[in-house]
Amino acid sequence: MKEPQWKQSRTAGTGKKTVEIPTSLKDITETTSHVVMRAASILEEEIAKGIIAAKEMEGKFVNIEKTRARDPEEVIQRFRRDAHDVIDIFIDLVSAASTRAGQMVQTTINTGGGSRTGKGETAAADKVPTLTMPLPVKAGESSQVEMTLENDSDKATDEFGFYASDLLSAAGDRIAAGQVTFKPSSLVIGPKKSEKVIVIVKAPKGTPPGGYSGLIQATNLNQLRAVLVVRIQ
Amino acid sequence: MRDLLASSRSEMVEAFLDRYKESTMKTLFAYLPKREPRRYLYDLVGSYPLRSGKGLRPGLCLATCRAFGGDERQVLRSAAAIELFHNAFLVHDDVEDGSEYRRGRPTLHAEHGVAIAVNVGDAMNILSIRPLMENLGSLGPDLTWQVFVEIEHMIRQSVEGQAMELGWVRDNICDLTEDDYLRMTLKKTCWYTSIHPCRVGALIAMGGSPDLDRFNRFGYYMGVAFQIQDDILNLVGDRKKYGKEIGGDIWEGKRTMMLLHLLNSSTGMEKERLCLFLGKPRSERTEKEVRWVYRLMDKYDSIEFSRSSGRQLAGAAMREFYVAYGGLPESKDKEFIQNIILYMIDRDL
Repeated sequence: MKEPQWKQSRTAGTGKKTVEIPTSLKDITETTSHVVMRAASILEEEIAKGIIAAKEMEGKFVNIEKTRARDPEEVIQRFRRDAHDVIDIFIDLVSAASTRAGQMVQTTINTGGGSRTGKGETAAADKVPTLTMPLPVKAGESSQVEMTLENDSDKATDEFGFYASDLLSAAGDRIAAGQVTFKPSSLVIGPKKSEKVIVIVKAPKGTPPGGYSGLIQATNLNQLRAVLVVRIQ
Repeated sequence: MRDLLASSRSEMVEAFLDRYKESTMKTLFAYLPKREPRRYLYDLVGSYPLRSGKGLRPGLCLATCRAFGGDERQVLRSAAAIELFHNAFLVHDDVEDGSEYRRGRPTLHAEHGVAIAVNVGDAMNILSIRPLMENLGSLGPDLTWQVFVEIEHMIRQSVEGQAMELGWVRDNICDLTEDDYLRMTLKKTCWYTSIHPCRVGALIAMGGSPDLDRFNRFGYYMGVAFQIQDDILNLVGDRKKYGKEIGGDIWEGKRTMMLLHLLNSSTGMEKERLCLFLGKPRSERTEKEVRWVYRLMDKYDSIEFSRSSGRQLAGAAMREFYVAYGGLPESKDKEFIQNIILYMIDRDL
């Protein structure tokens, strides 16, 4: 049986809307405490495991793509009706195309803007793209992969950065999130533009061999997420 | 003024919970077989659902469905199934923990013996499947399957989380951190208490939404805040209101946030003594030792620390509420879901 699709929803488009929180509630909503940050990180790790499992099993039972493709406009209109302040609910904004050229893997990720990928063009599991390090990495060494981010909307993105969850192996070993770095660490992508980002993974000495995976995500751009896979020799 | 607001919020939440519980129970009981063996099985299957639980899970499921413009009738079977699964977990959980009271009455195994109770729990799990199967007629095959996928994930996470906690107790694991607690609670409690009920409600309302992850953080933060409050009430609550033995978690050696805070705050000698206490079978622990653990928790403010963490998580849930529901038209159901966050950390039962 397949897992649910753990795709992060997008709560606002590139023209991000914010919803006013009543003043009476602000005293307990404005803190970003240690426990909340830890909880967020743990949730992302667990979701990453779900995505990875789903990608392995996807497409065996239900044509998710067909379900997703059903009347997206109707869904959006449903919430726009009678609503003064609507959070955009664009769906399936992340598309990916991977090409292999020699030892280099380049992955293109769409940063969003409202357009959907063509109906039925992509297998549902590909909606969360996978970035795979091109070669196995030895413990104590590092490897990198380049991804291209595309903004196909008519507005520039807000400035956004990146963060990663811990990378976990099937045996339960982990590479800490801090070992995953990004160059540049933050950027803005203009309308209809694309930018390249290099993802670097350092495998600390003593990292047990095996396949490790985790999630990378963008700050301020919720729909941008990808599964990062690295094999340690 | 603040008390007045809290009281009016509680009344509103409780009225909604009662209403949703009533319609869920009607559906749930329609699925319970009215045939033999009654005395040892089917008469007992309704025992826990009939007790005064809050009905939080079906409440969230139904309210989310309605807030997203869905028809309550379409989601009732799924809400009933979630509630029945929940009650099955409780029956087995009580056996596993050796608990004596549930919702103000003796636990099922205390009343009818472990063997009967385990079998009743099994039956409740099996009986939950039928309403999900019968979704087929009203929801169609794709949506019925997607609900099954949600439920399968929900149950699997719950048993994995339960396994983590049971393992910690059995092997007397004392080197645990806040992260361990948060992960265990996500798996054992949050997926099935709050995340999946909301996801299933929205899924059915929207006829197959792929945009369900908007509920993950909301449900997680709310679920942990709920669990922490539940654990606090277990230590300091009023047994008549709370319905379980007060301090039961200490007797059981349950790895609550308070206990982990205490283990990580106490001196080497205190920790050693605590681990010895936790390593004993429940029957060998004494009143005196339990009182000592209470005093130590007072000394290190472990309950206050957990209460504060619960409030911070509730605050984060409130922020996520605006992400998950903020764009919807105003409705009583939306207001109910927002109020339930504060209700859960203010509650005394």
